[in-house]
Amino acid sequence: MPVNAVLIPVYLAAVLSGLLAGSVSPALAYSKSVTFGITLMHSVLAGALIGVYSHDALHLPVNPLLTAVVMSLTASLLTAEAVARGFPEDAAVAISVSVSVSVAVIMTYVVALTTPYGVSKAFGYVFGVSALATWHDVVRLTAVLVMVIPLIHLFWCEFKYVAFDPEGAEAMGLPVRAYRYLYYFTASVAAASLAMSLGVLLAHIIITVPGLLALRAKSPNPFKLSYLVSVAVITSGYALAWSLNIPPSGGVGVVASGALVALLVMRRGG
Amino acid sequence: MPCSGELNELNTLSSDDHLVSLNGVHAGYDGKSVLIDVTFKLKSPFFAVLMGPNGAGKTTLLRVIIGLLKPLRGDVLVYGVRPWEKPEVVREIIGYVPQLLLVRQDVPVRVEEVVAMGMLSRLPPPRRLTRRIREEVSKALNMVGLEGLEGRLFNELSGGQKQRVLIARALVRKPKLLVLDEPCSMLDFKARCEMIKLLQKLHVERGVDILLTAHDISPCLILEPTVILINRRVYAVGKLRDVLRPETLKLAYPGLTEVEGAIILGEDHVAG
Repeated sequence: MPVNAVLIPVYLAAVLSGLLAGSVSPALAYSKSVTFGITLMHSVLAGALIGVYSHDALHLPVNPLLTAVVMSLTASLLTAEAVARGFPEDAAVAISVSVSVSVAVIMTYVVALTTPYGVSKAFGYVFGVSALATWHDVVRLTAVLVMVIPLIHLFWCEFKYVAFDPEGAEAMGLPVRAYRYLYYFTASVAAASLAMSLGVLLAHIIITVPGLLALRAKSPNPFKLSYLVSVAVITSGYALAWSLNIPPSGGVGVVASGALVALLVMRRGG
Repeated sequence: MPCSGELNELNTLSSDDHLVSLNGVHAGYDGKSVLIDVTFKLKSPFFAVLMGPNGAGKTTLLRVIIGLLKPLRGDVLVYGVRPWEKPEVVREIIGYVPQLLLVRQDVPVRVEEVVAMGMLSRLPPPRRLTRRIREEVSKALNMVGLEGLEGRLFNELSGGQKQRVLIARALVRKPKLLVLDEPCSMLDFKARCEMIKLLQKLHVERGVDILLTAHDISPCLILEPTVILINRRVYAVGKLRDVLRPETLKLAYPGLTEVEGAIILGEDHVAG
């Protein structure tokens, strides 16, 4: 990969995205919430479409990133509340996904009707803009990292206990519901930011793979592996994309898929 | 036949501080009662077994006692404390061991971390293992005969060892009462007997009161425990020999079948 001033923020954004994904991924995998990533990503898309519509059609001073985060948080809270009310986690995710997808489909139609380029703009979130990352993106990712990583590490012990034995944790006085909300909040903020950089499709993969690999490795402290895998997948994906002259998201997708295949081989071997 | 709360020795107690008592308790979910008018008293020291068919409300009753479920009606006192009014006090008194079935087996957690959870949950975040906590964890593991297993992964242990780890997690809090939900499920008969022996040892040597649920109480027979026969309502409370009679069991087990010299309990018959 060539090194020039224009590409420095691109590389930096890649590494920061890797760290961000690596921080939330273990908790997703350990709490069996990998499918929750689907909720996050669909809600980010729905939120981005609402933002684009508000900005381009209604001419309101709304940043699509903000609406993406708000929508993602709403879907997270909906999931957390459904779990707290006794729905199994997969059913709760299904409810949130169906709501998010409905909003995304309706808003795609509305945006297409009312704005000339709105849909293509919103679908920038599907494929990501990481190849065009600017210093602004680096600052945004750094800000999210500064918030998310300390929270995840500070409460990792609790997140793990809640995933391991929610009833026992509750009986011992841990505020299980509050920890669930906190986790969903941090995951949704991270997901919205990752989706901006990598795209919705890729962000889903990249927050899934490192945690699953760490879980497969049966590591009680999965962060080293998770950070390593996520940064390695993204940076090597960028390098692959550069050498094959394909979009960076495509390169990362190929490497991440390779990691998933490796995971399946490990499973078979195990 | 001794029925709910009719044991003379239990009714003549003067102080609630030594009692686990339920009086007219109705409890359930979404406003529907699973437990109906449950009344009994247990005077410390006790080794008691909640016995009843599937769906009888045994786990619901435990959830009421440990304060995870507020009764719809009636009163509960655990050594003089109402669990849902002072949950933080009750948590210091009770060590709860949930069903192994409800614990996620695929989460890679070390034995030491599981047991430490009992102590760490008392502290504010950040919750980190200190030397003192590690020492307490080792002591608790010694008590349940699992010394040296601190570094092993929970999901690599046998069913009996996992159950002992969960008991150690409860013991590390130095509880007055151990509440165990089906501690013998998923264990073979030998492991069940060993589990009951361990509980008896904790009861006798450390003065811990024991309340457990069980489908099969045969490993407990030698202990002469107090048996609470329940199927949504309490049908009998008393010593084993008084409760385990066909005429008493028939009330709680509508599916009970008498054959020559024996009885077969219909586990899935829930009272209306």
